Amino acid sequence: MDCSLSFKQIAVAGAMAVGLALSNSARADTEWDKVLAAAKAEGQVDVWGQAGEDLRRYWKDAFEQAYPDIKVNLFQPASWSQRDTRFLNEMQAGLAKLDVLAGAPGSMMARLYPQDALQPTKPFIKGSELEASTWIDGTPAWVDNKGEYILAGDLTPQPPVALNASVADDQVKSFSDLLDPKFDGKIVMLDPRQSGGGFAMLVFLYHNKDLGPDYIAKLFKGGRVIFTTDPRQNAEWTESGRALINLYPLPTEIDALVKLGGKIRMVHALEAGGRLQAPIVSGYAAMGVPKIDLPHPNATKVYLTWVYSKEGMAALADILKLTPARNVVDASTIPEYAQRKADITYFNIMTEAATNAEAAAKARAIVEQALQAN
Amino acid sequence: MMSISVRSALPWLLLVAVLVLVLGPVAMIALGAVNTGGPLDPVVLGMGHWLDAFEYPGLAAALWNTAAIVLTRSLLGFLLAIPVAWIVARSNVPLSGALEFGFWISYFLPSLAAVQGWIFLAERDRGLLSIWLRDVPVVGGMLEVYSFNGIIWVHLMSHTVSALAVLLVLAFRNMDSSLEESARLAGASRFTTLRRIVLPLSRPILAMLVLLATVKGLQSYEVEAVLGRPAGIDVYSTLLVKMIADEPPRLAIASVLSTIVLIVLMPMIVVQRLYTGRNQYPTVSGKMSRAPVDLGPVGRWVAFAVVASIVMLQTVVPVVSLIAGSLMVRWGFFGIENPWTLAHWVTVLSNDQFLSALNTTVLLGLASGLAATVICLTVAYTLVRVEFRGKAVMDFVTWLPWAVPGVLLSLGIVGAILAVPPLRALYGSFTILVVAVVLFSFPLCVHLLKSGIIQMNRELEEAARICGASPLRVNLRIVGPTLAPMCIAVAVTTFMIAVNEVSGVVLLASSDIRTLSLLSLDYVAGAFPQREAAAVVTTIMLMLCVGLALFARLVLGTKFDQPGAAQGRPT
Repeated sequence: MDCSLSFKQIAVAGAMAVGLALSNSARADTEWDKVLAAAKAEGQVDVWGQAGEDLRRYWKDAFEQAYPDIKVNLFQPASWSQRDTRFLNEMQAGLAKLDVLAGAPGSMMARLYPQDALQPTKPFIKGSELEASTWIDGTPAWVDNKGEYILAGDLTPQPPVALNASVADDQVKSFSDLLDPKFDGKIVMLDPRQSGGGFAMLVFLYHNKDLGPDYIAKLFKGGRVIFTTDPRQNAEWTESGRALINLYPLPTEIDALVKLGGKIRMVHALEAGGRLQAPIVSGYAAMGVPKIDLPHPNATKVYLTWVYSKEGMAALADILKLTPARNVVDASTIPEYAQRKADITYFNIMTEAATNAEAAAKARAIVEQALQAN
Repeated sequence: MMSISVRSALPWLLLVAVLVLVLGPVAMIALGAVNTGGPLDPVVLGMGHWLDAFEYPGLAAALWNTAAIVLTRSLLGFLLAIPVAWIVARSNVPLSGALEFGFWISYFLPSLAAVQGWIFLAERDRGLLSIWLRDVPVVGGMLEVYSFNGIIWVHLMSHTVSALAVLLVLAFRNMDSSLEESARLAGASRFTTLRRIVLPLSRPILAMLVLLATVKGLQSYEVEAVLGRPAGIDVYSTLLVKMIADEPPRLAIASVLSTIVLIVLMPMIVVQRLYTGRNQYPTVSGKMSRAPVDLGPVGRWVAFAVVASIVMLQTVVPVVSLIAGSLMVRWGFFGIENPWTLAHWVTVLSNDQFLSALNTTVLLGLASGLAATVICLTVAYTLVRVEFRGKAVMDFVTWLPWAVPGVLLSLGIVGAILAVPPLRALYGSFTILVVAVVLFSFPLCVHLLKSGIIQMNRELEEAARICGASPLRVNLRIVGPTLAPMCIAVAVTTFMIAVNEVSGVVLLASSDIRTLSLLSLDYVAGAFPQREAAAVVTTIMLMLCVGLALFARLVLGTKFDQPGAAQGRPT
């Protein structure tokens, strides 16, 4: 009797719980339906990113395909610097008219966050997309320490070097191998003092406990590493043998050369402190919301929710071949170089601790001093 | 009485308009140099950024490199361009029209095409020429495009000589050949005639070109960025772009550096003005003769061979490089199996952005070309023919847009528009784009037209007025036709600037306004850069510019090349 009563109680309680959950879910769905309807009424969302035909397909075309009633007005300046400068100018004049800042979490962290020019992104993302268990690191990839403002949607392993075919595997196994005098003048990389891949590598080296400022000073001493502004040039120089090592290569460029039979290969990680290490970077799927009265708040919610949704993550992997930060999509379309390896320790460099302006200035100063050293 | 005061007020109104147009953005840059407040804070004046600027690493070396490169390329450029332009404009060299057109094409070609072409030919150990000449004594092993000499060479073979030649041909053609004939009859050699007659007569435009070459040399970016950076050679412009691209960006320090350059340019502009003011030689008159100088049956073909060789080097290398790049699987990779493809053309032509970008580009180019011609002609005419006290200020101000690199000037325009509430309505509009393009072409166009007007003898206009022609009629029938070739050059040049302009368009336009230059930018940026597709877009942009130049030459040029029109004879 007791048992049956108990069973009944459990059954009733269970039914109530399910009912409550369904009711909550139904309420959430109803609320989302309202947001969606309001977003469709707004009809558009203003997104500011950076130039790039593939980026346009991801930021604009893929979203418009998912939500044909909402048009993306995509602003694509030549650099993140131009985007942020124009935004701050317009914000100061009270004229800023945009909804979403797409891409470049490091730049947002260094330039916009300290100016109090961002508002929390969290309220614009549907709760289900932020469920911790669906993120590959077990938690949403917030860049800021508060976990509210800048959310990364891609966490892609970055091969630290690409090598010319004449360089044997055992010649460059660790970061310390890069200091070998035989590579003086034979290493190329994007200028680490400027925003972009070179700066990301600098951040990785600077904050890495096994490398740090001393290593940076030795690596760049007397200009032994050649700085350029063109990742394609770096890849081609390394392929041709003019350079032997491309530090922080653009993987798509190396991949393209390999497919053409080029004498170059990527190395997924180098040893430091007794373990294989490589950086994890995020960029194009990191989003922020400007601290202004948004012209299209509901469309912003739909847009940001889409970015972190299964469909948005799939578009990211499919179009940009980057690693989604959520484990909700089939990752088989991602190139091998962008997939995590079990034996490698990854260091996520897109954090507030790594990308804040003060740390950036210190790291850059070390590079400048190293360049002057003999 | 009323009409006199209105007429005397017109130059002043024009001066105010020029000041607003030019000084607004420049003032925003100068303000940025002394504003120590944060981007969202009120303005706080201070000199902190100036101290930081002088401590910026590599500043002294960059300024030294800038001076060395500008001086060397300008000197060599003039040494080549003056005789070449004289041969094309003043002698009986065969196919002079085709040679001149070759310089125009070279002038239209993007610097990056020349850079790419010469890397392909002269990169150490890899370039075709480097490999062919490897075993030749002295020369073998010397070729290296990534060097100071490489930078100078690529400058000479891209825009330096062609720009100077194009402008000098226009000036030399407006010169009365009877003076040269007199010199020759008096026993002067051709060289002496060039030195004692042609060059002194060309002083206004030469003075303008020296300043122009200096200012433009300061702005030059692509060649130094690609060829200089790997060789450790930074210059003013690359340092500025580096400051803007620094993480975080150092816009204020970049503004300081631009302000310093503005200050340095001031005395140069004053000297140029004083020099030109004292040496104004009208060369276009009612009695003008344009008989070509006879170089002799052999001499004219030798001259043709020399000039044609220069033209070929300036056009064939970049054009072949550009077109080959657009047709290759990967630019410069001839060694792979099946290196050729039409895939990039298909990619671009099937891009749904392409047609609208083409339309917008043509519209922007035509609107800007027309606006620049009207505005610059008005300003230039006022500077030469109208006496008023603000003339020196106006003349000075017209140079300023070129003293500031394009990206910074674009940011200055954005700042100026946002700072002046009535102008905010223009923000993001097509009109403001036209204004920006006019501003970018302002120094060249105003001073090109100015030197043309200086060369024009007042007697032509005075004769027409004595015959009873109204001022409007004088302008339409005398001034207009005489200056028509230069007006066409101004319109075509501005069209080209509009077609190629990126930073101004991208920062000032709304997201709906897409031009071919932005489409090209899209292809070289992002996670999957497609330089070959960008080469397709650049080829199309080149075809647009060359097409317009051909049209101008065939349709308008023919009309104005007729003796009566060119000499300004009332018809």
